[in-house]
Order: sequence, then structure tokens, then C-alpha cells
Amino acid sequence: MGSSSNERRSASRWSELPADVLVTVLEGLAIRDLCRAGAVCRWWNAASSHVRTQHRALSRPRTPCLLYAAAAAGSSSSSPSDSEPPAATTSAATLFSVTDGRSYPVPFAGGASIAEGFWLGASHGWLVTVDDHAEPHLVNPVTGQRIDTLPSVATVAQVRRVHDGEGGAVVADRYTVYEYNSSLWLIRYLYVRAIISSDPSDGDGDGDCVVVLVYWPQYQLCFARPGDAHWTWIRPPTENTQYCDCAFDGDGRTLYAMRHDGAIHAFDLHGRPELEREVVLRPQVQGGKTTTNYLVHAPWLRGGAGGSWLQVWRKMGASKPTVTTTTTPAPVAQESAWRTESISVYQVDLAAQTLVEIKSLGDHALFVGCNYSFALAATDSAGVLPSHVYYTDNEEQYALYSPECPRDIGIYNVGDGSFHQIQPPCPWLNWPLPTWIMPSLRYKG
Amino acid sequence: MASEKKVVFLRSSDGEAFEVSEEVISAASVTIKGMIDEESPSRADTAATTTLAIPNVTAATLSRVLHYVNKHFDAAAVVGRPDDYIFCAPGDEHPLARFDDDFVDVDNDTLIDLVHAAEYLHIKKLFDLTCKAVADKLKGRTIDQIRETFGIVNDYTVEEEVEVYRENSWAF
Repeated sequence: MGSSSNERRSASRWSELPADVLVTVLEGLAIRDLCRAGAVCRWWNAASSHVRTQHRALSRPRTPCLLYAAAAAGSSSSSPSDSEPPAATTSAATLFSVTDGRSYPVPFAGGASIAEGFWLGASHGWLVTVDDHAEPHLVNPVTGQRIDTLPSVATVAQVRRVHDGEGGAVVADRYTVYEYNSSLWLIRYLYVRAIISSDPSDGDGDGDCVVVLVYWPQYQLCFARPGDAHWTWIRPPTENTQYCDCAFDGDGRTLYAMRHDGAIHAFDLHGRPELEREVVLRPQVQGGKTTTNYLVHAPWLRGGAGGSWLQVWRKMGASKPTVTTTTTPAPVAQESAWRTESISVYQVDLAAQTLVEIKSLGDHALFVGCNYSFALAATDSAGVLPSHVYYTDNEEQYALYSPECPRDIGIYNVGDGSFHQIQPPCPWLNWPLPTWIMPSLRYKG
Repeated sequence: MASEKKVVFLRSSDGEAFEVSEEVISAASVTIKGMIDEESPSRADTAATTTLAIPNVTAATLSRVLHYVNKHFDAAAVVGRPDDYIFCAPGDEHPLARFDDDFVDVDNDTLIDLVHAAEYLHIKKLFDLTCKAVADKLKGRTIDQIRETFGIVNDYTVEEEVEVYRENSWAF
């Protein structure tokens, strides 16, 4: 059997593969191949939709990626499908998968300008970006989908539009936040980071996910849902703000915000009254900011409400350029390059109100930087090193204000303190800031 | 253990019978193990052999499947060399990797027969292997190349096709 004389029968057998066969086949594909195979006919499309939704596509196995703009459009495609014109253009980005060591071109990288290259955060597969008018947006870099219904930057409590003379018309792109009064200045000196509570693809309408901004002055917080009329200012339980990172707990309901001094405050953004808050952890250090700190939800620690948290303290310093590999292409401003000197991981001990340094993450790995810091189990993600911290830039003084400087991206072994390099097939550009992301293939309807 | 090896006969859809060790095929195929268990109360403790009908699998395919099964599940056949799970050091090539690669290096018709047989007989390792072989045929292919390779007809309406292309345009 199996002769070529029976092509019609053979053809229908392939287009009518049993669901379990087709799903198993499609689960074995990387994202780009999955999308292509899912487009060939209705039945395969249904199966691929199932893989995307039921199994959340890239979350089984989970596929952490480094998202960055590649150095050379056209030569950036490492996919085997070289028979086609490369998808990479000036607006394409590259997704480097840690699990298979391959790079995939994706459609979105923002524009060429500093403003459009501002990636404020990457949570649940979505980037928070700003446009040339300083307005924030949500973009899924894999599907290219955008959500443009976040409230205007002009509704952030501290931002004032500049009016033309007394009682005059609003002047476009002019704002005041203290002394700053242009879009570019606003972009560069208002935004620090942005965090999303859950995948914006979830849910039917607006308002399911919450976007939190960390912003200047004073590292304050505000939040909004897509479709909201304005950003809501989060007033801290004490006068002191200085929030450097925040994260949501497992159900995306409660916001945990960490200050530079290590204190953690919890805010119930869905509660009544909204913004009910509590001090979870008291300040841990006094004095100025000496490290870049991240807050990572670690549900496997089972520390009880608010207790499943890790703080990652990363010490960076100016270093002489060490000639390593070609992954840092730009020869500019080498003398000002910042390098990670050490990384300490602390477990929050609620009862004792202290931090306890740990020297192993067990089976888990952490991803920190200008993204939503996250943890995952190495067993769920072949190729990810257990008990390692994957880091990229976010220290705002250096990263955000020095778009031309080399980026500090690597892997840190928590156990022995050694550093390892990340080496995608094609090097990253220094801007936008390369960011860790867990891609989402879902499409908001 | 001193007793002689029990065998069963599997009869393909086109009537050919194949002999296989009961122990080996039971370890490999959940479906056939179930059939044998069902039969066993009625089986005398004699030398009577059992013949099981496998109505969904042709002789050509069944012969290939049994070749795979004997290679992967017959403990006697792998004595003296590293067994696939137990003695395989991390980083070593799976001792049967070469065999597996050759096994699924077949034309599309043969491959889909193997997929269906593995599914029907519930041989998980073979099912995973053949599904992976299909996935490998999809990798790096364009939509048109996939359709051509497998003879799949584009059955979208124009509106559906526009929508599918819009959602996935980045990947094409």
C-alpha cells in the first residue's frame, strides 16, 4: 500500500488527521511553524487554536525569550526558511528562545526613535511602550496586536499640559511635570517601568488586566485598566514612595510594591475601598540606593499570604570593557559600561520581618530586568538552567538614559556566583533595551 | 521464568498473521495488552496460542510496527548494551536514536499509516516518534509548501483566509 496512485485518499487523510494526532504534532512546533501549519486549512487551524488556547502555546513547554532589536535587518533571520524573503525589516524584532537557542523574527520592535523604542516593561507576553507623544500602549510583539485604550499620559496626577498663554489652547506635546515640558522629556523623565497584572488577551472586554506605572518624580505608582478614563494615583501608606519594582500575586488581584529600602507594601486594586493597603515588610536598609532590586513572586515557597516573595539585589558598577565576544557590537561609550558585579537573592521572612539570603533556587530560575520579573521551574522549560538568575538591564540611570551604551545581559549562578553569557545567533542592538518575555500567542478578540 | 516464552499472533486487516512475544507486545501496546487480558480467563493453561485480529492495520504497516516494538521493548534483544532509559548517560546519544531516525525516514503515506497504527495500538513511544517526524516535515515550510507536501486543500472562504492571514501575518 502507500502507492502514489492514491493521492486523493492520502491528501484527505492528512487534512483529516485525528485531533489528538494533530495536536501532538503541532505541540512539537516552534511558534512560527505553529502559526504557519495552523493556517493551511480549517481543521488544522482549529487544532492550532486549541494548542494556542488550551495549552497556552508557548507556555507548554514554557519558553522564556529575550526580545530585542537585531543588529542587521535581513541577515537576522536564522529560521531555516530562507527560501522566502526575510520577515525582518526595520521594524522587526528578534525573539531569542532560551530553550532551543534559536532566534525568531517577530513583527514589532517599535520605531527607530528613542521614544518608540521605549519598552517600559514586558509582562505576560505583552510590551508596554510609549509613542512619540508619550502616550502608553500595550503591544504583543509576537502577534503584532496593539491595545490603544490606556488612558492618556496627561491624566497621570503629576502631569500638567502646557497651555498657550493665559487660558489659551492646549499646546500639543507640551506637559509639565516639575520643570519638564516636552514629549521627549516627559518620556525620558516620567516613565521608569510598567507592569501588567495578567495577559491582556484574557477576557472579552477592556478592564480585565491592570497596568501599573512606576514613574518619576519620587518613584511613584499609578494604575489603570484599558478603557479607563484616567490613571489612578496610588498614595503610599507612608510619605516615602521610592518604589523600585512591583509584582502581582498569583491571581493578579493584589499589587505588591517594593521600595528601594526593601519595604514591601500590598495594595488591593480591586478592593473596596479601592487601594486598601498594608505594610507587608518593614524597611530593611537605610540610606541611599546602592543596588538595583527586583521583586519576584515565588509561589513554590508557600510562605502564606504575601510570604511567597523573593528579593533580588543586583550590584552594578562601571567596569572596564572586557573583550568577550561579539555580542556587544557598539564600540561607543565603553568606559561608561555598567556591569553586574554580584547578585544576592533573599527570601522574605514575614514572621521575623527580615530577609534571609538563599544560595539556591532549587529547581527554579529567575528572569529579571526591564521586564516583569518572573520565576519558572527548569523542569517545565528544557534548556533553562535551574538556580540561575537571567538578567538584563533596567537600572534606570544607566539603562534608560544611556540608549547608546552596551547592555549587560547574562546568567548568574546563584550557587557559586559565576556568570555566563547569553549568545543569540545575531547580536542585539543596545536600544530598545533587550527584555525577557514569556511570549503569548493568544489574540484578543 | 523457566517456562517457554508465550507468543501471540496478530492478524492484519489483509489477513496476514505475525508472531510476537506476548510479554514484549504487552509492554509495548496498551491496546493489545487489553485484548490479551480480556482473553486470558478463557485461555487454557496449555500451549494453545491466541490470534488477535488487528482490523485497522495492514500487513505492511504491522510488520514495521513489530520491527519497532521488538527493537524497543524486547529486553532480551538489548542485553549487553545500554538500555535506552537506564544506562543512558546525560548527553549520550540515545542508543536507538539512529534506528528511530531511519525508522521514520519514510514517505508520507507510510508515515501516516504508522501514526494511525501507533494511535490505534496505543504505543506511546511510537506515537510520539511518528508525530515528531510529522512535525519535522512541517518545520521551516511555508503554508503553500505544507499544503503541497501533504496534499491539503485550502478550504477557507475568502473572509476566513483574510482573517487567518491577518492574525498570523508576522509568521509568514
